[in-house]
Amino acid sequence: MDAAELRQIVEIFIQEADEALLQFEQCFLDLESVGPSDTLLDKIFRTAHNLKGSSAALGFSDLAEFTHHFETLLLALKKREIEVEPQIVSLLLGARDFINNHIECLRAGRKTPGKGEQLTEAMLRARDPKPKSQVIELPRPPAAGDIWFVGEDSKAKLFEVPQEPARPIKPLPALPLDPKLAAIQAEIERLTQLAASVNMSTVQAAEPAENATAQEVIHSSDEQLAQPNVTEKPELASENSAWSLASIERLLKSQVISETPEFLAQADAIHAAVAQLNPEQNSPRSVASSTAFNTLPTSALADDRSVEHVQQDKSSLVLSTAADFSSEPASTANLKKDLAANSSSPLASPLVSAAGALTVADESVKVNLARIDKLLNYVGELVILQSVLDEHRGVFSSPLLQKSVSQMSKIIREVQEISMGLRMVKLKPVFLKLQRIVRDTSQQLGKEVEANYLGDDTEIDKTVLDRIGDPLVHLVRNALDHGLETPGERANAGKPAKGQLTVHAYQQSRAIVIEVRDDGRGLDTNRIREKAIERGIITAFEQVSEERIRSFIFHPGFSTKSEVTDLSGRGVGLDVVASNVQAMQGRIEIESLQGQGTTFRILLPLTMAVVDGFVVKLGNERYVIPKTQVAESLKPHEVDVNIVQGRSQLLNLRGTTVPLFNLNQLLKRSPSNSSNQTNLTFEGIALVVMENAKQPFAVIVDDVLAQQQVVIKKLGKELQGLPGLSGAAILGDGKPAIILDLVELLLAQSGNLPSQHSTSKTRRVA
Amino acid sequence: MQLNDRFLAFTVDQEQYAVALVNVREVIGESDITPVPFTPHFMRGILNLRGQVISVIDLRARFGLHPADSSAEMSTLILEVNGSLLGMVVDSVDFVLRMQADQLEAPPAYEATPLSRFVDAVARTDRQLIVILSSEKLFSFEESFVTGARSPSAVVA
Repeated sequence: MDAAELRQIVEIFIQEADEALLQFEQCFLDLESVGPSDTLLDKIFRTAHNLKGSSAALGFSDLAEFTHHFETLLLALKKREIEVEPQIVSLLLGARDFINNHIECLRAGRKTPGKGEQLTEAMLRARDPKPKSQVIELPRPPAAGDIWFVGEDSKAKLFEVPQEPARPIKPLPALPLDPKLAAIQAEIERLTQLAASVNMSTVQAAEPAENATAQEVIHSSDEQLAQPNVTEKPELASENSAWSLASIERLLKSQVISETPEFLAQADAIHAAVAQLNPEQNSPRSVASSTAFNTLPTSALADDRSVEHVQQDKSSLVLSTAADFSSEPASTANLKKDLAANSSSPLASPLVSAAGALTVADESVKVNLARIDKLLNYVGELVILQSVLDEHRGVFSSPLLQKSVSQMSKIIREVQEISMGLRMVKLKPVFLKLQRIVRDTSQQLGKEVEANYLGDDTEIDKTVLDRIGDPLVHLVRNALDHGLETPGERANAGKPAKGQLTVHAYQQSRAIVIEVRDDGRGLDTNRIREKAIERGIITAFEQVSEERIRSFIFHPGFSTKSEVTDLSGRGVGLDVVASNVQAMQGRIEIESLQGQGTTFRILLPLTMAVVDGFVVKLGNERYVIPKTQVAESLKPHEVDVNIVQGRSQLLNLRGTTVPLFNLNQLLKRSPSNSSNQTNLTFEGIALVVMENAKQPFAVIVDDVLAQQQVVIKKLGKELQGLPGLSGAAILGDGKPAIILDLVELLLAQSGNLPSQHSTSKTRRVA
Repeated sequence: MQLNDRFLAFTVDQEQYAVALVNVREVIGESDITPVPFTPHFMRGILNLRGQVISVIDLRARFGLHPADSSAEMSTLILEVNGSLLGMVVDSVDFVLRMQADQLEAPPAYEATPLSRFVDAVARTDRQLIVILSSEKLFSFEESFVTGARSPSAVVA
């Protein structure tokens, strides 16, 4: 195995760990909010166990050791030896974060953070105080060379609470350095587990597993392995474990492994164990569960219902199918055969397959984002070509041709819609992060909060998902810290002690809306107004709408720590929220009733791949300006414009003056047409830009050609970072045009947005 | 110096140059290039190559010569440099040149012309000298693009 293959396996491990970490977070929070249930604890334990197995298999011994202790703590929880208490949940979350940190280091190729002795210590202590019964502890964390089996003694002894800890049959020959073998070993461990879990479900549920989906089956536990104290129906259980061992045996005898003499020896050992356990049973019943190596012969896969992951070329196309036991085995087998033929790395699959089997219940394909973007590129091109065809449809004399073109248009539109949808992912991961924040923050602040999360299955563009997390965390923290009152204050105000916090995501026409709502004290607009006057944002005489006053909290550094009023702190970091949301072509609305609560509403475009924009003309060139930035467009008349000191101009907009800029100058282009700037006649059209709290301004362009949706293309690396140029779009005639960010453009030019303060000064000068 | 043995020769301002063929993705005829603000004069702009937006430089301007008359017939070489596609406008694309290692010479110690920093080697053929340019060096922009506050030192790497 070369370094690239190894890297690939590690990447798959990281992917698997990511899923596990996500699951941990969700489950731990559920432990607290929903309460511990067997299913939940089983799920957590199983996930931890898998993680331990894979990290040991890949030789990440620090992580393996840590997860071992983690698992042991979980086991104690599962056995109800210790109660689920907030500090335990905190500890679990802490451990999860440590693993997360470890994985992040692996991903970045940094040095990993060691064994986490402190947390390990804490986890050991957490188990100690209530030693109701002996916790079965593995003598030492399993290293890559070990396979753990539970008692190879007689079946009667096997299912009694054992007097001695579980121990290895015999350690495998020292092979930990060969990742291929290590992977196979991990696979065997997992197989044992998987087989055992399937069998356990047969024990526990009266019904056989035949019709159960993989998900349901695997919900049951694999207690035999780690904790052989099953007392019910020992005979049946014994029989079951016999199947599972038999299944392993069968797998071991399959061609992959048979190439390795060490494994043949191991297979014999297992065979002996099977014989011992199961002397009367000649032919093991059909094995319901077996996790597949890609290279297994097709026949062995025929009744295999597990998930197949195939690493195809460089791209990480992971195909997963989870079929029911009852689904057509032939087609599944065929599919797998095809996939196996394409597979370049057979070992890649076993590492993910078990995790996949546990988590993936629906049929889905994971596709590299770069591939989707490439597809979108071509689809965009197709749309352009089609619009050209459409335009010239009159040229075609043949009705057949005309009909075909119009039909093609419809299909292309459909294809465009579908392919745009490919970038959409669920908001769930972000919501999970919020749950965690709410939990930690409210504990810190000593506030009681009932948090509701609605619409976590709302789909959002992948790019937006990656960038919406921080703003939402800010808003949620803000709501907890400054929105909600302390229990005492709430009691005084006649409110229930528990504050309400709701995060709600939904789709509204062409936008995604995410609301963060609290029932706290609300915004005090009088105070904000005073503060705004103090800071010179508005003058004392200015009539400003309530809405605009609220928007002042998005001003950078609007509130300071020196403020001791109830609006203290409001606004810290809110300017960051505002600018993040704007960077995503979105906007924020605030609703607030004093004493009753505040709602922050983030409105985001459905996709980052497309923007609604104005195509404007400037000389011979065209630029695209996002519609979200433009409040209105108008043709200014002479009387509306005041020139100040030759350069800056002011536009009189229904009584308010806004600074007026020439886009030509902002872009440092030489004026291309005759529109003389010192002259008071204007050929062009003014676009008024008004974004949240930022000061409105207007820019002059030669003409507005169209209002249309454009696909956003990235500029090359060499052109990135140019101020105000946010990308390119390909217009209907196939020519590219630059997409402008007017606010950023102006900021870069002037160093600062013109404030009303300075504006009023210049007006006096004029 | 490790150089591939095949090169694509082209003309800029009546001089013959070449780049390693391995870097050349394709050659396209004249195309619509949109200028980009805040870029140095040798950055001709962006063009649409089947849905992908590609930055294009003008080799004449890069060499410190007068940019070509936009009416003149030009070709655009699409090069792949460090994983990115980039274009460069040349007067004409001429032929593929195969050179043995011993026919390549280290560049002469040029007097410091704007050109000299892009030169990888010189190829000596029977009739002439052909200057072999480095694609990487052509698309390394130490020049600051912006006259504003946030000028990036863009280097394609």
